[in-house]
Amino acid sequence: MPDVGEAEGRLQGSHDDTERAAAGRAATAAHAQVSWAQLPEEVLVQVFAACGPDVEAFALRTAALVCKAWHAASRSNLLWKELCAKLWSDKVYIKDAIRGRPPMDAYRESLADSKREYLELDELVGFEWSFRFKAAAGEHWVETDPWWQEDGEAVRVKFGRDGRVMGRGQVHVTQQFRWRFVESSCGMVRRKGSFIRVNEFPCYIVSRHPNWGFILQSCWVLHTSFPMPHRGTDAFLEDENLTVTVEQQKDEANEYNARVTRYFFNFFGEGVDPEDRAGLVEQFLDSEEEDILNDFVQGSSDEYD
Amino acid sequence: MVDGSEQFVALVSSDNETFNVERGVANVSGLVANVLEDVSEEETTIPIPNVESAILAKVIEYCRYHYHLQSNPQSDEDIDKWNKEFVRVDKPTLFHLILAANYMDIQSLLDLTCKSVADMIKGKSAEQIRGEFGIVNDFTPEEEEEIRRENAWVEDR
Repeated sequence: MPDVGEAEGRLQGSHDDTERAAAGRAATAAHAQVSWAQLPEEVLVQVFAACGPDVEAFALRTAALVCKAWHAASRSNLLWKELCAKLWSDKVYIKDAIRGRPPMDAYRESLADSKREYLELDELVGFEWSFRFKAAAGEHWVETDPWWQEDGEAVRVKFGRDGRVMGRGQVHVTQQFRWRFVESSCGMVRRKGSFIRVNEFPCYIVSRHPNWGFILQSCWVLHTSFPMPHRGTDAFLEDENLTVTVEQQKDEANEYNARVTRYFFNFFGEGVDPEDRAGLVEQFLDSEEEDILNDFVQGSSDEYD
Repeated sequence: MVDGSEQFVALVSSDNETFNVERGVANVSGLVANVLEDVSEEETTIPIPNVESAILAKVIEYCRYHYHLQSNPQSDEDIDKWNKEFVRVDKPTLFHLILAANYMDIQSLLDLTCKSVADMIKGKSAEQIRGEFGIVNDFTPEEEEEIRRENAWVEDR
């Protein structure tokens, strides 16, 4: 189609000329009405967003102080919606009440809330928790815990509003376990929601994961408010990196073990050398008598309540 | 639709300069593409009342290069080089290019020009930015202090 090609060539030439002529005027014409303060907000937001890596700090420490228009853009919903989306993209939990706030407030409040180390009742009873034993609980418990098996899924647990602890898919957590908030544990006193006690086991202490999920742990067990990653896939949740240890909870752990040991003596008779107690309890747990221990554990909650 | 190179669109700048542009090139602009959707395939005139000729010429240069990349691909390196050269303009031109890209809905040009501004202000203080872009400080010292106080939380995130 030679005609079209020719026509295109001609027209191409003609507007190239126009562009050249126009470019010559650029220096004078474009100088009129340049006001960097008055860029549209959506454009300023895009400029700020390109001032990474720490867009938040740039917007609030620098851009906000340039002039009133930039200050307004530094607080705009457009900018902070984006920043919230980025901040929250790899997080497992943000309170609904905070999500509903204006974006900059939501950003700030969600950050502050991610450091909160206590649970509200609605949160404790709302999550489906993943549960596993720590190695410190003893070989017997680890062997029966599905999470410790190859690619094993953690057991799921719910804390009922009525105080019951309900398990799904395993035997160790039964309806006979009961939870309560306590305000002190092993010499620490914290606000309500920081410590949860199930029967007379050592307290569960509330902390947070970097993904903003909740962690509930004692020296012997671990719960996560999100599906617990498989063994060996999350260093933060490996036993050696978890902070609540037998040393820290030795009073409560000893007290619990003493009760078990007392029960053991009542069951098998007196006269055991104290140094052999731990070994004997371990033997007991491995024996056919496990059901008797479970009965004891379940019974203890009634005693306390 | 007929191949874009066979059809032309007349874009008219705010100062009444007419640019005859291949339809495909003009379509890089979301604004133009939107208008063209609603008109016949015959030759069409579209006014671009917010953009003066010097800037419209630059915008068309950008659209033409990026449109022809479809049939004549270049390496990312070459495209990057071309883009960098394209935004090596004085600040008023850059300013008007941003407004034009925003108005004409050319997201990649808006990205490019905003990035160019960001590179100029990164690492500078508010005072230095004002100096760089001729922005007047319209805060009282009290207001500045108030903003510093309100925004202090960002330091200890």
